[in-house]
Amino acid sequence: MLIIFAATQNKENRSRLEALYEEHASRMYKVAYRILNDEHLAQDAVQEAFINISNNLEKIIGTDCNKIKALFVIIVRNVSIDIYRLRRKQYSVSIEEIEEDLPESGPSVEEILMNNETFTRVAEKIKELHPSYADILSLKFFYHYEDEEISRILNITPENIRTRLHRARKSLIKLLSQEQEATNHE
Amino acid sequence: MSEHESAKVQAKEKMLEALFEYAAACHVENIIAENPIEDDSAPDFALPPEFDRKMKKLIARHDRKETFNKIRKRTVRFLSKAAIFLLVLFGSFTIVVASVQALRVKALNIILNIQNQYTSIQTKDENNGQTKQATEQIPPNWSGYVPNYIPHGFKVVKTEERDMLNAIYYSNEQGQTIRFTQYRSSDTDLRVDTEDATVQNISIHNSDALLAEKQGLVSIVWKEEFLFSLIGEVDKAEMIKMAKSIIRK
Repeated sequence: MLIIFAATQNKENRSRLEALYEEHASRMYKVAYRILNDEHLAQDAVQEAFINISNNLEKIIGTDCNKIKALFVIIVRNVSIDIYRLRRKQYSVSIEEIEEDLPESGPSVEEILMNNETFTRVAEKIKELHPSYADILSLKFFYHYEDEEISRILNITPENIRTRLHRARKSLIKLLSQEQEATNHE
Repeated sequence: MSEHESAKVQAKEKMLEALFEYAAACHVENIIAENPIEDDSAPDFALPPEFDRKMKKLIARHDRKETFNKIRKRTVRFLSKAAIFLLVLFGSFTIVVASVQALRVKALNIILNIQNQYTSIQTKDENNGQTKQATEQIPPNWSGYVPNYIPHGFKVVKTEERDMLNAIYYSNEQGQTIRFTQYRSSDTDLRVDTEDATVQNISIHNSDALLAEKQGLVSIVWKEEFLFSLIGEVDKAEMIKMAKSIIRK
């Protein structure tokens, strides 16, 4: 009886995973291709992304359609960036290089936030933020995944996740503070 | 840090977190806007069929592994619960049996009866395997005692020579029987049915003997060098005479 129940439940899961694949695979392939510019690498990226997704299926099932779409894009994008970096290591601008000029200190939170146009600025600046940083901020603050969950989804170490999150925050603050300083000077 | 200062710090952190949440939501919105549904079916980005097949095989393999893991986890959980349940049940049963005298007696009697039956069966089998029989006459190599006097009309119909005893069976034409038994073992516990019987003590060869009469059956038991019994459907006097006549062959 246990076997039948587990098989039934798993059949449901398999249908869902297959359904997710059929719905999102093409879009993921498109995103991966735009980064990698290679059919086979893009297919590898999609495959790896789906492996990551299948390992975290319980967390993903039940989320609404648009949220899943954005999540899958985030996952395949980060996988593609990792593949790209591995293959073009000496030429890529790695995330570690990006945050060289991130100052530790900056404008205070009050200076950033005590402005009616803050939300508009945030919406604009997030577009300028490096996609990897923006993605990880989304996984943490929009999808509300824990660091370990993000680590499994993106297949990188939890320490790496914490480092990226720290840098992502700093990077966004920097972008916002640059805007704020420019406003203040005016 | 004073309470109001730490409250301000916590509030700032919450504001920052809210800012990041807002930024993240904007980013997800942008992703959705950049990837409209109508673009999904664009022919330039169609995955080849062989990749589709490969992916579906991968999904199937992954799910088989998941099924196996789930079954294994559920089985382990179930077995451990079942084991605990059985343990509790057995423990409770043992306590009940041990603490209720009637049940305890019954349980022990069951065990003892089983043992008795087992012992009984074993004894029969051993003896049967080693029984030597002869008809009508005492065998020439008979190594035990024999009654020298046999009541009129009786003759030897069977002899048995076993590890623990020798027995001689007599019978007459009327079908009446006498059995003479010599017990070799010094650890014999011989029991005579004396319930509602006429019992008297007599002497055979200066040894004390027990004579019991019940429903036409006369039993005499006494001990000399060995333990002897003589049981028959004959007159008491004849039986006593027969008992007194035993000699070593």
